[in-house]
Amino acid sequence: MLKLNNIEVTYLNVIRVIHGVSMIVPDGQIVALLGGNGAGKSTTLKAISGLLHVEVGKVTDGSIYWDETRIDEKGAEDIGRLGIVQALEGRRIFGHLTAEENLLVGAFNRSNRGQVRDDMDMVYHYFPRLKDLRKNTAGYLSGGEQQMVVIGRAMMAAPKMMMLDEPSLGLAPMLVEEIYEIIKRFNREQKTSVLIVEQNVRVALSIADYGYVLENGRVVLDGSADFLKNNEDVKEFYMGLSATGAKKNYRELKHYKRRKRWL
Amino acid sequence: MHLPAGIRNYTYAQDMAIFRTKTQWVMFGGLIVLLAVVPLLMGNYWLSIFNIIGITIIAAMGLNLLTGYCGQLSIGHAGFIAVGAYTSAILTGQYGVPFIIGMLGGGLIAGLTGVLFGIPSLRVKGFYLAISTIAAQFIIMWVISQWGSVTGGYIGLNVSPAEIFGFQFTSQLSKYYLIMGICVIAVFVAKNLARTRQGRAFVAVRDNDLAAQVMGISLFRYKLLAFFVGCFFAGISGALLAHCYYGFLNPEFFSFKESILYVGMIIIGGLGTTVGPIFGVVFVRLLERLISLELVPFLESTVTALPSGWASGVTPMLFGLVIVLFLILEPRGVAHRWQMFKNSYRLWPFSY
Amino acid sequence: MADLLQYTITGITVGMVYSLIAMGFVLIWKSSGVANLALGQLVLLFSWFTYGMLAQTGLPVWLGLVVVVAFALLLGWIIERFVLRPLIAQPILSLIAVTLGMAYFIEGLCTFIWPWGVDVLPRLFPQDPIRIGTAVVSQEYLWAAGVSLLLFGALSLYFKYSRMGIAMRATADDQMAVQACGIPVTRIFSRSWMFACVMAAVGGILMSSIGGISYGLVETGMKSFSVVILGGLDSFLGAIIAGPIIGLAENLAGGYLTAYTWPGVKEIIPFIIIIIVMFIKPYGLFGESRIERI
Ligand SMILES: Nc1ncnc2c1ncn2[C@@H]1O[C@H](COP(=O)(O)OP(=O)(O)OP(=O)(O)O)[C@@H](O)[C@H]1O
Ligand SMILES: [Mg+2]
Repeated sequence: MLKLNNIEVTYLNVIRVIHGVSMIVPDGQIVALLGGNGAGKSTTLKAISGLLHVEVGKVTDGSIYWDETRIDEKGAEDIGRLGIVQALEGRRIFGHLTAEENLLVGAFNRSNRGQVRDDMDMVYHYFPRLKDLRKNTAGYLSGGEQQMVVIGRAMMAAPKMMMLDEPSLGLAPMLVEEIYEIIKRFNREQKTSVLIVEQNVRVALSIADYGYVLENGRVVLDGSADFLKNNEDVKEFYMGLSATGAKKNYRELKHYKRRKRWL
Repeated sequence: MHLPAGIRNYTYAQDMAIFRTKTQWVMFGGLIVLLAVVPLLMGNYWLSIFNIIGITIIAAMGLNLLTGYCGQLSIGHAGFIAVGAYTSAILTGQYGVPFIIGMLGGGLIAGLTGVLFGIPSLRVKGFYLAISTIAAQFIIMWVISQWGSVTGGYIGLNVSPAEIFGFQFTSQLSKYYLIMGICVIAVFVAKNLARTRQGRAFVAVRDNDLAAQVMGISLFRYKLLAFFVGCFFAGISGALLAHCYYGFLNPEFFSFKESILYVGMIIIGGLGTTVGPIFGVVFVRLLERLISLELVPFLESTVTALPSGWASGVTPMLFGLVIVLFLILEPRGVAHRWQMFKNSYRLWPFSY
Repeated sequence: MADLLQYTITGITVGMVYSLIAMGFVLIWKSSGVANLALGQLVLLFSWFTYGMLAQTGLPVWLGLVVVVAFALLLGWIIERFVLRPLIAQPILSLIAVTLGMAYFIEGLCTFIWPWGVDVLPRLFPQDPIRIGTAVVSQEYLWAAGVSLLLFGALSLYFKYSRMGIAMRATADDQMAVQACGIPVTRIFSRSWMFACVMAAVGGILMSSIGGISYGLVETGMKSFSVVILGGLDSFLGAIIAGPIIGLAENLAGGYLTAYTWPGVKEIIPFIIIIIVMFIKPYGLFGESRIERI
């Protein structure tokens, strides 16, 4: 179980972007982290995976626990070894490697070759399309296929918790549904907990058990997926539906008829 | 910027002024007097050390403009210095040109050579540029050592002493005054250039040349200008080196290692400040003399068991070590320490 | 005609050694973005070290070579750990300058330990010349080419199939994503320095077994810069192809131009090529042009 206790994150010693976020990712569950651009979602993920220092950021207050282990002071490798893996925002594949080599990089820290082979088959089982493309250079795959490679690569680490940063970015709606379906199956079958960052609130909540809404570095709302799906504010501000359920008229938005209630 | 207590800028002229307080004027006057009087008390040994320091400062100022302000790394500075040295020596020696003209000619030709090898900087940066200046160093030194009929090649070239209006600078003391005079001018020009429109354009180019270009700063003009000015300083320094220091030229004086040392000097001093290179030069040249004139002979004579010549490796080893350590421990150089010291002095006794 | 063949063979074989050294450079550049300007000095150091191992201690050749490789690995590790690692995320200027400082140090170190400046390595390869058609080529050149080819092969297998090799290529593509996979990039940096040192060592041994050891080896190492510039900084393929081109250009110029220009023309050709490439195709034959921060 992952637990964030009131963490603060500061970049370059001066830019504070997370002001006290607390959240929990229970074992085996899917948790969605929602919020607009610049809310601090990616930053939160990097704080968990230990990647902040790469961008000269730091967890300056609060603590992060993975089960009993405190991890906010650890480096990315140690955290990776604990079974936490992050797929970065924006389809960061290794363009000059083949799809299969990309997957192998994901399994870097595992020494049992037999298991790695099995997991490779498992990934191909979840993403049958990748099996045919495995010898292709990843840089030339389509966006959707690249996203599959990225998720598959995270799966290859045999993680206890997988963190995905906007897996739907730039994909066609059909493909988004397909990928989310696979994430859900992976979660149920492998008992891996998933922390998923999304702008596409509807699809994220369709598979999540629980969700947090982040705004300006603070958690402004959290609750079960069903609760959030039916929350008026979430509906209006993140799903673009007005109170009546009809598609929102953008002209109305200008008049600020409704204020976000949590502000 | 920290100003001394109670001093405010009320006009832009004040803001631009180099000296703001009476104390600063007094200290500056004191420095000039010191520079003028001290040599009278020194023997030739120290005079010659001061002379090489002065000459080196001129070249380092140029490199600092180019690298510290404009961000164009040059690892071929010794090559450009050589161009100035040989040009001036040849102009005065073979064409009977007066020293002053020879020196300026040396600066000019060195500057133009710099522009030529600086052209790639319009398209490439960082390491690529570093490599092309290394290539410049090797090509220049190759031409000088092969073109024996003009430059004397490996045999070397005798250079006449500097002469202005019939006065020959032959004594160390007279050379000292000539060198320090030019050095003070060079420092002032460099300091002023850094504060002008050109200087700000240089910094803009250094920090982000694409953005600078978008803002309407002509990269073509400013990068090449930086190369010209930087190498002009190198050329002047080379001319002085030829006429007032060595009195003789040999390609070995301008080795690639010397170029590295120049980069080391401005790094040790602190990039992009005016005092930085001065600190760096004084530090490096003093250390160099100390090691090669005192330590090496001492080591050679005490440790005789080793094959002769071993101790001459000590100097480069130490310099290499110093450069690496400075980069790791104090990447902003001595000038940064100096600034912190000045600030704490100004704020004293409330130095927090 | 015999001359031409001779120059061609010498040029290509020597060029392959340049390629080898240059690949060490490319490796470090790709994995960590550091330009190793101490390349020539490393070549010198390893050559002298080999000499010291073989001539001064009288070790058998094979054992001496094992020791040299071990030393190269160790030195590569030390350099990465104690010189480059403290400078991670510093401006590229500092990274360039620190390798320059290292270059200075290493050259001094060599003078310090081997002050006599010039010497010959004990013979590593059979020497009797071989006739190829009308040309007579010293066997050492062919051995040098053979060893380089062998090393290319071994390296490409390593990069293609080993876990670490794949991770090293991945690092060249996206350092942050590699870290997100829980891979310690510092280990990859140190691995690439270790390999690069081995390549410099092998290159140095090959060069000095042909031409003896002297401070001229520094320039030989520097010629590898022209190989990386011509081939493209981030391309192994470029390094492999550009090496023989440089070697060929150098030897042909040495053979045919000397009569019309100055005698040392051979030495300067690689540097002239650098300038020409800078003017017409700054990112080399196979390099990716990209915006570089300074
Ligand atoms: N390396 C950095 N240095 C300084 N500030 C940063 C850095 N990375 C992010 N920020 C700032 O932190 C804030 C949160 O950024 P973050 O990337 O976490 O947002 P996000 O919620 O992931 O947004 P998006 O949905 O657009 O990806 C932003 O205001 C951003 O400008
Ligand atoms: Mg984000």
